[in-house]
Amino acid sequence: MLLFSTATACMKDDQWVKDHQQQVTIQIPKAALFVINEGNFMYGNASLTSYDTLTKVTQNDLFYRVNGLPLGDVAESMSLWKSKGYIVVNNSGKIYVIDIETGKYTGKITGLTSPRFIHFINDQKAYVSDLYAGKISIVNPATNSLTGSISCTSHPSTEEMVQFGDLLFVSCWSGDKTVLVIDIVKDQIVAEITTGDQPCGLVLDRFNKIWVLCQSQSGNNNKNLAVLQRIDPVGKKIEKSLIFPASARPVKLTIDGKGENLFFLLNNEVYKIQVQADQLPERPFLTTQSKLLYGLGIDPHNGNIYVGDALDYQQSGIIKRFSSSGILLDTFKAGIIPGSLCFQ
Amino acid sequence: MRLKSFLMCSILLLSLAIVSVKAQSLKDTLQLQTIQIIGQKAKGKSNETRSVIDSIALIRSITVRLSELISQNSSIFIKEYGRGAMATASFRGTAPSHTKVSWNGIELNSPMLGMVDFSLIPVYFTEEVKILHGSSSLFDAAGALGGTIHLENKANWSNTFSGKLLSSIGSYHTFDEYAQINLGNRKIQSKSAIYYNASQNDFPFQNKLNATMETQTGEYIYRTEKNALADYRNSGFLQELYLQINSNNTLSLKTWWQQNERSIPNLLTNESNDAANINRQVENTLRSVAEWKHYGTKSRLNYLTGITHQNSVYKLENKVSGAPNQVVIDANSVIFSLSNKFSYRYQLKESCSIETGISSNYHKVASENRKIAVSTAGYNKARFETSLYVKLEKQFNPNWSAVFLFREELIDLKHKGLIPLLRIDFQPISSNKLLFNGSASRNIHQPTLNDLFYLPGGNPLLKSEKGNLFDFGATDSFLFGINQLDLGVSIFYSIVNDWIIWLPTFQGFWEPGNIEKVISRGLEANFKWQGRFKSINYVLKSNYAFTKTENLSANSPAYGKQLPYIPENSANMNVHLSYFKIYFDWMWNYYSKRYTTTANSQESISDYLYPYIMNNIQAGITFPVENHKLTAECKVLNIFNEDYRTVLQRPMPGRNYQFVLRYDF
Repeated sequence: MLLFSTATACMKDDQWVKDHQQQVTIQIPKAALFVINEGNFMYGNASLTSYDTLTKVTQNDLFYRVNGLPLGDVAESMSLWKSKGYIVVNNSGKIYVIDIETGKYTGKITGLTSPRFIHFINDQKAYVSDLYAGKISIVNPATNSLTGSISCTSHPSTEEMVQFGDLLFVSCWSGDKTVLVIDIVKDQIVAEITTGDQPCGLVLDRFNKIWVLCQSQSGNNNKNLAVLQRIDPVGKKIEKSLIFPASARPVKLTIDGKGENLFFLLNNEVYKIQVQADQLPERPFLTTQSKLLYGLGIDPHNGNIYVGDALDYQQSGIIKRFSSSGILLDTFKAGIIPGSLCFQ
Repeated sequence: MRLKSFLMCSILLLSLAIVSVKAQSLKDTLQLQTIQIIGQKAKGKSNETRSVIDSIALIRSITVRLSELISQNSSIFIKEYGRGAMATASFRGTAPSHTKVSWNGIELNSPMLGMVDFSLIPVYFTEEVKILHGSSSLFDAAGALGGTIHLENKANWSNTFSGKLLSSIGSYHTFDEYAQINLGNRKIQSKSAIYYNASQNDFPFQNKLNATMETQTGEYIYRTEKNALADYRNSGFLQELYLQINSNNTLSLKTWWQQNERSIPNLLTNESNDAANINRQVENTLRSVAEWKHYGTKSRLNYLTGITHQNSVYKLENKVSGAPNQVVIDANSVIFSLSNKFSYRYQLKESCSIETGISSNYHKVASENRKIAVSTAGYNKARFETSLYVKLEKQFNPNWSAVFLFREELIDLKHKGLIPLLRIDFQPISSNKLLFNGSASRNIHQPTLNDLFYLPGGNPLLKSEKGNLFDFGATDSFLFGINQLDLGVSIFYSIVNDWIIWLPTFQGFWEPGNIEKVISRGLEANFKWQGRFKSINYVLKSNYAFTKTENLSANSPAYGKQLPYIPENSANMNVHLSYFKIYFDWMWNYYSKRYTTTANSQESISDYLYPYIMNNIQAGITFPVENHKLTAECKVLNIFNEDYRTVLQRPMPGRNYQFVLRYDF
């Protein structure tokens, strides 16, 4: 009997799926921020966390718990437009759209190649950068459909985007050294700015200058140094370069709400530099005692600093919240590899 | 439809044959080839904890990959990434690179990656599979912290002319063709074999991770999809030559070439465009090994030399309308390995022997990714590995014996470590088969060339993994008339310092690092009950393993947790029944829950995989054709049509069928 029962015991895949399909109803307060947990590459375990800054209540695995579906593989970024959140799932070739008050699924944009970021122009138009496609996709947020593309086959890896007037600046990260300038009215590339190696982070400061963080080439034999550069968006030229020491690999360039201070991660520490500074800081602004810093975000409303610690990359990471002056305010658990943050 | 009709006809044919055989069976005489059944351990022979996959299992599994054979017939856990996809082994809770696999004396583990993809090794070309557990692997080579698997081919000196032809058709457009011809006499023997195996692998499945959802009702609409971009095609040949120079000397030369080609399907959550993420992996491998064996009155001398040449290409492309494909990854690697092994064993006295040997492996790897995200990717490096050993075996009295082994490991002629092993065997009653054994050893696993040099990420400062292994076991055998029961149990405890693991970094690539300490402990048990009841021959055998592998590095956020994807419990059971010319096999396999995170959490659907239970059956009939035989066999895999997965995000097929025709002459 024992033999027969073990032989016929089934694996209950449906039950496994249903057990986690709670389809809970939650209310995400206005004071909440979102943590986009990248998950392990090829595991499909990306997730979304919300954190209420007032009550300190965390909702982990929010997307699955509300919608009963996994987010996908490698959630790269999230952007808000009106009452909706757009979660770009890089290695699933899609963007999930949710209601930011409930976390409920409202649609998805599929058929992309390897999307990284979405930038909204208006209610009918947004651009999606892509790691491998060799084009920037144009989507209609009203219908969640692809409406066109801007070909950039000689710069296949497009990354972060910043808008200045009718111009969109796009960093070309992987193996590249270019920032593309796109006319958003004509949907055409109008200029290319040569930068340091592998430009990734891109932000606009209060003086309407664009900052780009160039990571340098990875690998053990790299000769090019990482560099933080300032671009004049009118002249479309590099006008300042702050060069990092050899072997430095700064990442996650971000800026505070006032556009006065730049922040980035380097060697598991948080660095801060004023936008008027002429040299890089020698010492970190924050020493977080974290194991593997992976995410960084600055609350645009109050300047609070959030850092994501991936711990060992194979379990749920944690977020540490500091005041703008660097005092630890709170620590909360997020998902696997908390890579980016999205503020309302 | 054609396949279903074919199967219906086959089943009808089998049914008719069963009736006719029942009527005629007593009159027929079937010339069977000699089948060697090797037990768990020879009585009184001290030295190693081993298990051998018996000939019946090898014959019945001839069309499967080595991954299926191992998972069904041993306590080794096989992690399979889908049907026809990569399969790696975890032996006693260790990493895939800690299981070494050798083919007629040369190592199959990639010097680049360290591991073996078991899905690429066909069972066709293997005549003996021997597994050495834990410390016992040191008798062959260092570095196998889990154990070693030996694939061997041997000469049949009584053969003059024989061979086999096999053809099979299966679900999802799967085909197997195999032919072997053996020619020779008492002096010289030749075996030539060729195979071809291909599958569209386009099984249907319901994708529960990618639904379209009705926003009003909340209803999920799961699509039934086909396993796209998952086809595979494998082909190869094997040529063996054996020469009996005289009664003391034999020479052999074996050459194995094969080509493996496959696509790797997208994850279940993927919804990229159809022209995106098109990938193809092609691997060409040539292995050749020559061996000289000399048998003296008190000595035995072996010399072996072998080469391996492997070229692997992996391409990931996106189709761009009106333009050339956008090549994302174009990885090409060429591996050349030259292996030499020499050993000499001398029987000092009847109760004492000494053996010494040296083995050297020269590996040259050129790995390049022309399209990766950075300017420099890959490497071009060579490594010269040497291992020297001396082994002493002593039988103290009819009850006690011991073996002591000492290895010296060198890389590029620089000392890398000393490896001692002591094993003691105790047979309480010399007339009884009850045997106890215990061993303690040290082992060192060197980082692979990718670990050290791959750009980006390789870490030249990586430390080698150092293991202290202890095991204790007992085996016994009982005879009940014509029935026999074999039992074996062993417990093991391994401490591995500087365990190597690759992890992603915020820099956009992965890099390896050393985990301070991992402890693996557990139990392995097996039993085999075989005999005859009236006219039915039966074999019932089973393996069980309990494995606890924990990260015990101080300050680790995963302290005390089971390593991901290692089941605590795994078991398998095989029932073989034969009645005259008809046979039936039932195969059952079980793995307990596997965690996917180091925290062993169970909060989300992607944190763990539920226990795996699989049932397969096969039935066949053998028709005598003069001195030859024709066998028709029907297999039903996943008989309960289970919807299941073995890793996250990969679908597995439901109930599927295979029909095999085999002609032995």
